[in-house]
Amino acid sequence: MTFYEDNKELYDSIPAEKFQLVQNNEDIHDAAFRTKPIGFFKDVWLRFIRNKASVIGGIIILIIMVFAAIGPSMNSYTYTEQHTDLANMPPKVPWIAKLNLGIMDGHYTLTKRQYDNIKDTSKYPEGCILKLKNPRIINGVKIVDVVVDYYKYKGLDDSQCYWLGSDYLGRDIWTRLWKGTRISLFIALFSVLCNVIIGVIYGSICGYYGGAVDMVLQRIMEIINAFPRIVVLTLFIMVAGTGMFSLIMAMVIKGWIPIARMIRSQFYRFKGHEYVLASRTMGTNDQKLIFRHILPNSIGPVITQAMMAVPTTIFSESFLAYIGLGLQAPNSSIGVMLSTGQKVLMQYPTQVLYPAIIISLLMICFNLFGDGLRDAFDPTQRGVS
Amino acid sequence: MKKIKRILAVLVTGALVAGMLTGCSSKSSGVDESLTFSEESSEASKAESSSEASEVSAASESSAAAESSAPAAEADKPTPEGSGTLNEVSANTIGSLNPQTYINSYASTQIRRLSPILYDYFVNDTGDGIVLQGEVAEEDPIDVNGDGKTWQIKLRQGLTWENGDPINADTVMYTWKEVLDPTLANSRGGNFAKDVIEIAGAEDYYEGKSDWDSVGLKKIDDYTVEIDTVAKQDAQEVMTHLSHPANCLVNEEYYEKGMNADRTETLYGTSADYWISGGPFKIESWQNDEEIHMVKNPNYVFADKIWLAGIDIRVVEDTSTQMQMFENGEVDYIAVPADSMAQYEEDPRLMTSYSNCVRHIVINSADPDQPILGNENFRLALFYGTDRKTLADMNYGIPADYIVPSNHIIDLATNTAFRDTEEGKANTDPVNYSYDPDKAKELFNKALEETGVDSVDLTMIYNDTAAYKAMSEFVQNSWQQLFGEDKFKLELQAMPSSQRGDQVRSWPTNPSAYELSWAGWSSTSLMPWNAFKYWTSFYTAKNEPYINDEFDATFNEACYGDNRFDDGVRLKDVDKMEDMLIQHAIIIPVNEIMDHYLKSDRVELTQDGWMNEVGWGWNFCKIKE
Repeated sequence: MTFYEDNKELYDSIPAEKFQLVQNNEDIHDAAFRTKPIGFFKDVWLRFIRNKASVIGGIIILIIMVFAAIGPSMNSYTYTEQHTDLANMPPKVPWIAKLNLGIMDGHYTLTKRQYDNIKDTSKYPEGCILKLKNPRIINGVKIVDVVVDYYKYKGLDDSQCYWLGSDYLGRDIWTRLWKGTRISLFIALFSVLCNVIIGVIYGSICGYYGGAVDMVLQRIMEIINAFPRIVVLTLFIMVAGTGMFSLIMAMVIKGWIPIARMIRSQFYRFKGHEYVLASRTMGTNDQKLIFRHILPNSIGPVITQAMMAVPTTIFSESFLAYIGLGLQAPNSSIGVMLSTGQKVLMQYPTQVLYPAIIISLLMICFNLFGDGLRDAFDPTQRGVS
Repeated sequence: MKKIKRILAVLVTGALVAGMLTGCSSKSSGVDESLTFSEESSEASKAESSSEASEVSAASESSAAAESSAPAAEADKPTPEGSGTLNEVSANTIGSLNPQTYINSYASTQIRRLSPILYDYFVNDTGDGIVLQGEVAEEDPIDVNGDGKTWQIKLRQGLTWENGDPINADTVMYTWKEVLDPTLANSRGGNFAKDVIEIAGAEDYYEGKSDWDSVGLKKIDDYTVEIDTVAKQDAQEVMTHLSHPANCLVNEEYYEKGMNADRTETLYGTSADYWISGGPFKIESWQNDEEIHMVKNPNYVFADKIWLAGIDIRVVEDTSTQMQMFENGEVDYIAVPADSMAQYEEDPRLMTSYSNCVRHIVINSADPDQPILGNENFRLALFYGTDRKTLADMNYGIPADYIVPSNHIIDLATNTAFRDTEEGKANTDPVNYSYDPDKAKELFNKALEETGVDSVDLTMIYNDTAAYKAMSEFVQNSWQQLFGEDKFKLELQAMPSSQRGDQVRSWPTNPSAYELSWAGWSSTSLMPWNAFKYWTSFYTAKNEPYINDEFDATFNEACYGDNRFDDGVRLKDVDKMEDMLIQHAIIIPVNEIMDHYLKSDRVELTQDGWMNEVGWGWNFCKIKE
């Protein structure tokens, strides 16, 4: 303006016909994006797959879930089928046995056998003895440890085998392990789902209404939270009895509290935002404000927190089974198998090994997976790269 | 940096693979015919043994003798202090050493070690048999009037508690008065009033119906007491009655010290502060739930039979840890749990004995919520549907379709076991042990018809131990298979033994306290008739609903009948009682438990193997250093 004011004479001296409109026949557009537009979940996904550890965690969880689904039907045994004469068989997988790795070959060391009985074929069928070791004399009797092909020792032919061995009642550990994993996962996922539902509703009400309602509900929550978790779990099971339903309920008693807290803080953060105020001014009811406008902001943290809760729940279930308050026989779960396997740890270490591997994998993988999700859902990371 | 890591990883993997390969090569060498056997404990064996020997460390097994202790004097008689400490391990805790309220046999063993008693079973001087003789009592009871109803017991003079207080007639009278006290209502009182003998007026006093003066227990002088019995008894019966561990003597000062204000409970025997010893051993230190350390009591009347300087007991709940402790020489002997037996079945150190009890399934046949349990055909179906052979093999026991255990002697004179008599044999099926699936199914269907139900849904409670878990799961599976899962369902409920016990014992007040459970009563092996008291209607700790007048009458005849000493009367009575319980499937006998022990070399038993009533005689063993 000043430029024109200052040079008024000069500009006015230029004749009007010397000027020409630039875009006479074109509409004006923004430049088109060179990349594709991405939504919220797409963005999360892109950030998630960049985290290798959590992807691997997710894949392992998926594999375990697939085996939990199909594992029990992969051989002819059922999880309750007993063969008491074939109790505590060592693991044997025919193709691994052929590799001569010293694992899963059905070999077992019988300790403290009398040397004089070694030749007795009614006790040791032809060809079952692989090696004698550790010869010694106890109370004047010749004693050796005998390494045997346990399947031949029990008079079985090559076709019959327990992949991961059998337990104290001759039940197939492979079948029971995957059946148990299925049940453990079911209990964990179902109880987490219950926790999320209760937590979201409770937290929303606290956070949205605030004031006296929040005050009362928060105190109730604090009272529930004041009792130690293990004590509450144990007492609940003792009163309600064991069983899948009461196990799930036991996990729910305190499990929903962290989710409710997190949701409440999210509500406090978002309920004062302009778009919420605008919507409210236009007469939107509370329900719609809560579920349509505010809650979707918390979806990321909720999913993350739920994932992180799964391993804790699996662990709690195992703990309860371990102290004898888990599922009742003949049901199996990872905790039940750990608990029975631990009792014979010295004699049959493989019985505790496999459930231990599965529960460790599940714990690690769910944690890695949850970690990855948390980073992926983190709004501060959005669009950074 | 990354390269170094990679190289390291390769090296580690290589080492692992190499280790595996060497492991394989040694395995493929086959049966070695030229083995050198050598004594485990000798130094030579350690040097000679190949590298593989380290898998089961020979050194660890031979280190049992490492215990430091006073050098054992090679004498014929034990020294007053004894020598060597016996190391024991237990999964049980004592709870209370009060003989009048104890609840398990582990507690009673310790009570007997620490308390004086009037009479007890001892190994005879030659070590090949047992005698029932006086400990605090000087001699056998005297039949004063010759009618077998008034018995005088002379006590030894000069016996003391560990603090020097005398043990005399006042001690005995105090003990008797307290065990029967109606306000204290000690759980063992009923048994004292009436078991092998029935003491005149004692039951009425215990139930609060009369006063102390009417009880047939009297002090004659400082070292003589007198018992009046209801029926005619012989001296052996009086002594047997008084030899029950619940009748160990208690110390008045300490018993009163622990008594509460309204005299309903005493702390006696719950901690070292409320305990004083007067038996073969005395407590040096005691932390309940952890350990107890006992030392020899030099003032014990038979101190010249006790070789040990002391006994250490540690509480370790986990049986596999216990086995490990034995292998490491920390424990001198151990009961081998069934799940470890596979490792030791050929071990030459293994010692096997009867455990004096038939394990059976208890049926709450009067459960108002489960009327089917009252149906005899249904119970018989369970009886015939139980595969005892398999269950026994699982636990290295003996299949039992009977109630009187194999070691119970019916005729002391000829040492004949009841199971060896014609009558005893007639009650059993030596081939299939009464396992008859077809008959069971038939009876089951008949029972369903009679009761008009389509399916049965029962719950069995069991102690949360490996053996009971395995047996319960087997029973569950086999019954469901046999009767059809659509018609018969058995739920299992594991619980700690104390909780299960409480639940079963609550039966008198709660008739549906349990449906099915496990039990195994142990009793005096020299009086098989006495073992049937648990099913009489007047048994004070009764928790099974069987009530039958004829059964009671038979029991009374065998125990107190005038003709009971006549030839064959008791045999006939035992046979009849066993038959009544089995024929109507009041309980389902399953197997006889066998006890398996391993003993370390440093322990030497002073008797010829296991004997009825005295067991292996651990209290009297010697420790070799």
